[in-house]
Amino acid sequence: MNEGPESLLTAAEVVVSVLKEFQTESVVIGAVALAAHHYVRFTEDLDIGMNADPQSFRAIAEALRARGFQVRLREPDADDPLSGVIDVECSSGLIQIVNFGQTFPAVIEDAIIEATLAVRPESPLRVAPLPHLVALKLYAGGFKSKADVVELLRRNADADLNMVSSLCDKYRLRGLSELLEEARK
Amino acid sequence: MAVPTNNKPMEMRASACAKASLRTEMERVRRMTVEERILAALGMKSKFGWLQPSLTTKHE
Repeated sequence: MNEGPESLLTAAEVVVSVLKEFQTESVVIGAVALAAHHYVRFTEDLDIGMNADPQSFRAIAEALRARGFQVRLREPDADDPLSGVIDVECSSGLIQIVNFGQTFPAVIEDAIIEATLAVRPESPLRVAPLPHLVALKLYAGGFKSKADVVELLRRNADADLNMVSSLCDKYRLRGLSELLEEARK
Repeated sequence: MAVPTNNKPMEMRASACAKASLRTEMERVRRMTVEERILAALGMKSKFGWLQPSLTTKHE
């Protein structure tokens, strides 16, 4: 049976509780986080950003499998900008656990510290703050990510752009100024 | 649509009515809770998944 999006949120809450068993904190990133920040667009999956070493990441995949989830561990090659992805397939959709542990841990560490927005009341799912989402999109690169940044900024006219800029500068991420310009049009 | 006859390329320009429409949409989204916005994004597949793009060829 194909269940609704509510059950994907519930499954993601269980996934996050398994991550916590490994002392691993996480934040919601990707299109679900965009929606939380007022940019609602089509998405089929829920992305969770976290940091883990390769051994712990494999152990997390095993623990999720033991909980009955259908899990596929995707390990990175040497050039991959990500440190691996675990696909957790649910009847209601896909949860992707994205590991930045060996590639870009700072953005996740900072996002976890700053995250205050919960997906719903009492939920352990915390949403990455807007500046960190922008940084993650610039890191991902590509037209779709750039378009996401423009639409996100357009829908958050009250966002602290100095904070966004300084965070991207801190991570030495390029390309924000042209997107800010486009968002103002 | 009338195509310019002077061979000049069409210039991109912002549409004021499209902007007004977007503002209304943004106001609607602002009134939703975080959970409602997330469920709206995740629910688009079931809402619009039945749409199939039509394929046309020169011979049709």
